[in-house]
Amino acid sequence: MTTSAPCEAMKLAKEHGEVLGGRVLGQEIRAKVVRLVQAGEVVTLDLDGVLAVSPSFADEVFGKLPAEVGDDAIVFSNVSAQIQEVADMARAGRPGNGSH
Amino acid sequence: MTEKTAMPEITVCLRQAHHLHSLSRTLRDLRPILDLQEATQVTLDLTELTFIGPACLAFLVAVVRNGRESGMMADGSMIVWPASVPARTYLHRMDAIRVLFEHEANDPPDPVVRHEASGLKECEHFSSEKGGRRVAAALSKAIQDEVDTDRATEAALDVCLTELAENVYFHAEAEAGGFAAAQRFKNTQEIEIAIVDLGRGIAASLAGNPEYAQEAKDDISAIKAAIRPLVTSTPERNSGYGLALTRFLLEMNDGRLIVWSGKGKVQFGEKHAEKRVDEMPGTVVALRLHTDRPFDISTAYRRLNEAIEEIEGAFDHDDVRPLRGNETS
Repeated sequence: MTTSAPCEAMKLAKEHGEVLGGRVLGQEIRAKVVRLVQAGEVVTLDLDGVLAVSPSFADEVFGKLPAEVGDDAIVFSNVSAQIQEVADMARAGRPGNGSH
Repeated sequence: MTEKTAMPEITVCLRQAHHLHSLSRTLRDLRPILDLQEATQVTLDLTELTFIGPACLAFLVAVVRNGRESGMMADGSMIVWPASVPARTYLHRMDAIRVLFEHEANDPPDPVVRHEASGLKECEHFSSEKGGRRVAAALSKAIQDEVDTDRATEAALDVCLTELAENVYFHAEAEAGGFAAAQRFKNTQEIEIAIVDLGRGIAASLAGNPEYAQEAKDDISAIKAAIRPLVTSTPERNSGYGLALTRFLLEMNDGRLIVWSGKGKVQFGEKHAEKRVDEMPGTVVALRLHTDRPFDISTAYRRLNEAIEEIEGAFDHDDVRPLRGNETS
């Protein structure tokens, strides 16, 4: 039996700025998280200080990522109400994430 | 002895003022360059140009860069700079010369002292998604500096412009990349931002998704489809929120979003208008927003969600599992 170990939180505002925009940035973060999860870690994405995310970024990180690695492998922390709304939209738009 | 064939030559003139509403004239004036079928020495005569706004400037730069890179504007082509000192200074301030001559070994012509680009954001070229992201961030930062908006407004603009620049990268297939410029107009308290590409256009891009085959047959229908959330040519990769989000942001601001692609031109916002026009190679997206009115991304996202609910019908947030975590909301 394998157990997942929590790793240090990825502080997205500190690493990438207050506005997280662009699909390529989202893809980069998604790829990094996938690698960590495959190594057996539970990854925390800390959105403290993030003012806004673009829809394409949200699609990669909130939409595709949980569908790819599973909800139990990632933790989103400090998600503001506005980002939550964008995240819900992204999750709704991806297969395997609930609605439609 | 073989006789040397003379290189064809043409002269193209831009006269007077070229504002956003006269972009069709800019297109007509530059059409001979777009229609070139063989390497030609082009003289682009700007002698009588008195003003050129961001959308027309970004388009001009796109046409010239495209002409040079495709080889249709042959060596020996030249630009005659405006006789009007303000117009010439403006082109320098807008950094048009650097963008036009980016790949030239020689110094750009007509060197003058460059002043700070007060009230405007220089013309920028981008050819990658990251480049588009950089330009979007620079544009929104420059606008914030100009109008003293709050950080949330800057973030909202940044998000919108990033999405629009991404469209160039992911959908336009524009060999010369995208071009952007912005300017503040103090007298009307407005900012104009333009993103231009000479790619395949919205209809051709949308045709890649069989679901929108009908809309893709007509440029106006294609533009109107592209403005709806969830409409994208690449559903496996993109989400189709970019133009929709921009539209909602601008509607709340009483601003305008103008999309001209192929033979269709549609204005969203303040006054809705659509018409068939001369064929635009690629796509021009121009935003005209008021600096004295709200630009609220939270409300825009809420309206985007409402629009999605209408489209999806059965869309229900209760069906979406919450994110796992310790959300602060």
